[in-house]
Amino acid sequence: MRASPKVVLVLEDEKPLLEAVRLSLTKNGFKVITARTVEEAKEQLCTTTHVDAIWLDHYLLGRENGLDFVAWCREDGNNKCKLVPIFVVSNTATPEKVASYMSLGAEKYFVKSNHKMGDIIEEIKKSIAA
Amino acid sequence: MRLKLSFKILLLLIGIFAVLFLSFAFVSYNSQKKNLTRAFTERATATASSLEAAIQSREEAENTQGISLNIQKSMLLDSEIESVKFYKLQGDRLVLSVSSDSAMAGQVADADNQGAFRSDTRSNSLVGFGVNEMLKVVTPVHVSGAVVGTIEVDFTLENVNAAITSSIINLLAIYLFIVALLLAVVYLVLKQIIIKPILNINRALDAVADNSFNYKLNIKSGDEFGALAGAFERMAELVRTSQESLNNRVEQQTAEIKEKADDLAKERSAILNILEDIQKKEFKAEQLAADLAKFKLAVDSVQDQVIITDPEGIVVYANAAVEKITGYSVEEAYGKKAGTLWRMPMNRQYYEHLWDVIKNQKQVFIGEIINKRKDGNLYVAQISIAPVLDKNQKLLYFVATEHDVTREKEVDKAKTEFVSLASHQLRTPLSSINWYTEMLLDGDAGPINEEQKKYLMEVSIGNRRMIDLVNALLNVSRLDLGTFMIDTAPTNIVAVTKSVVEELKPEITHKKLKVEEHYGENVPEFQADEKLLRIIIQNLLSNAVKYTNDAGSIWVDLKVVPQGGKVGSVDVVFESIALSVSDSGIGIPTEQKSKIFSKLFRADNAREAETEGTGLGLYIIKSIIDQSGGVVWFDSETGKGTTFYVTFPVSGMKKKEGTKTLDL
Repeated sequence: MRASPKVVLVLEDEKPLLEAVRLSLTKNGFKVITARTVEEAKEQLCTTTHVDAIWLDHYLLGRENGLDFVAWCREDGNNKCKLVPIFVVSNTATPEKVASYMSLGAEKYFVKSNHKMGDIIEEIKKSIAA
Repeated sequence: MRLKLSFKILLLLIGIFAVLFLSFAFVSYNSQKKNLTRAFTERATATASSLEAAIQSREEAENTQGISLNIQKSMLLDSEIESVKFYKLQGDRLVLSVSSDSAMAGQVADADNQGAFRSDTRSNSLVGFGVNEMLKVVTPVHVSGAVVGTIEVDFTLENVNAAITSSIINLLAIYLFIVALLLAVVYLVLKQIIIKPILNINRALDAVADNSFNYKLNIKSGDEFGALAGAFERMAELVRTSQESLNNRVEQQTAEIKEKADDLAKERSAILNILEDIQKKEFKAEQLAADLAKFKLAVDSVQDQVIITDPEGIVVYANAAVEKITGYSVEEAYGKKAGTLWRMPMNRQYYEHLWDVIKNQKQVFIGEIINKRKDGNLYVAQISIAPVLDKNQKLLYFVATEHDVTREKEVDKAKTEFVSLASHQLRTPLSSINWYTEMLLDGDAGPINEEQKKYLMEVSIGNRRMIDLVNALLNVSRLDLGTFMIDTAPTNIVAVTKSVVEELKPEITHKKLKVEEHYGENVPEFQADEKLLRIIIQNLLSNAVKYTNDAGSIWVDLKVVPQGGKVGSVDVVFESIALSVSDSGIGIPTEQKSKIFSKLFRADNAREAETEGTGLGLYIIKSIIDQSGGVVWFDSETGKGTTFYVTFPVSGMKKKEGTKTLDL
């Protein structure tokens, strides 16, 4: 019996990148939920049963950014994403930003352009499996 | 002199004798005159008596003729009788009765006759003068005992006077002769008794005046001159001795004076020197004052705050910038403890540490501080407080400069944000290309042939280069801004090196390179920023791999070098950790060696051999090494190979305050 696919929520404002990630994740057997704003992500979370991982960019459309999303996620009452591993995939990586994400409980921080999608996906797989 | 005194005495004598003579002559004359007057008076009396006798009765008295005859007779008897006059009382008046001369009878009698008549006394008087002098004798006439009139007998004194005169002249002659004799005698006597001694004394005095004390006075007379001579000699002796002692004293004093004069001259020249010094000092003081004015002006116009305090922190000077930055005026700042005005919004420990550094350790404190402006706003400043010590290491002042970095911080923050955004904007399309190429190569859009794969690989490689360049540029921008930080912790450099080698294994294997690693036995953990260390080692090793041809060799050497030891051909100043990465690669052309560490530079042969490379790697690591207290250099020969050396003191990398880290 095939296990139900793991769900990944992808938050990314750039359309082409969002599409590429969706394709790759789908190829790797994940179910992908996409959002380009924090608001959209919250909406998506409402309609979905659960998520197993979050692929999060920092700069997003709308007023709120990735950091705001993580903060919201980790609040009580958001049981859908409170304990979900968050993988930050961003092109900006100032020490403050990284520290902030990590202190809020992000799993890992990737500089987008330095990695193949495949590598990041492998990391996600490992993390979920653990 | 001789004449004068004698002359004076002679004159005096002459005077005396003259006076004597005159008085004698006078007396003589008068007595002669008296005698003569007596004589004449007697003769007149005789005449008058005879007349009187003749007139015995009143009738006789009336008989003028008879009287006249009588008168004539008398006159003949005495030739000197000039005239005879008979005055008779007629009524109540005395009038001329009979006269020998032509005088008119009846004339009233003059005063003399009247007087003699009334007083019944004879009178005689002299009338006229000179040749016409006459003796007038008036005798009262009695008849029967009563005075009836007077008889005036006038005698001419012409002859008498002449006789007197001649007798006096004779007297005078005799007198003068005697006087002359006397004077001569007196003169000679004087000369001997007085003049000579005086002249003698004079000569002696002259001799004394000429400082010759040998002149001897020979005055043996027992009188006053002798005494004088004796006194003189004593005096001369006194003068001599006193002169001598005076001379001695004068000599002595002259010597003393000369000495004093010399001393004064010395003092004077000393004073002149002092004056000169004072002048120089004054000039110097003026110069210093001018310099001080310049400096004060300069400091006042500086943009940063400059505050000088005493060892307790009380403000003694604050420049104009203090007001500009803090809003507190210079007057408000004076006399207060520095910091109280700025209400020290930071935590207590910060200030305690600050004071410890400047007061106890007497070191310069440099750091960032947050102060409050007068309007309550906070601002960030770069502060530097330097203690000023005297030569005994005693605290004199603190000099604090404060650089308001608020704006700089804002600029910095803006720059950082900009870099962040820029990196995002640059990297996003690169990520896009990267990932779509990845999907194509993975066959996600369908199978691809070899040629397609080849092209896609090129796209990927080009993209990779761009990404590397963007990463490197971002690091360079952080390095240039100077605000990247070096955060040190004990680091196992051996482990880092090994891991970097491990990372490069795929490429090493692909190029069939031989890598030899030598790690010193006692390489310690040393204070380092691991991330930066990794960047350095990565760059050196990846360069070695990149620029060594297939089947080449790479040597990695990591050890501790003591002070005075050598790294390559270079002497080591202090105990260091030394890393060297050698390769048998293409080497660096000599004429391009000087540019090897410059931004975006790639040597010609490097570009030829390997298209990939930003030209920023060595610039970045040199920047890091320079700022963290290390040294980097290289030896190279084209065609033979290159060796890069990096040393750090065992004490570790220099910590650096900053806000950013570099990216790998």
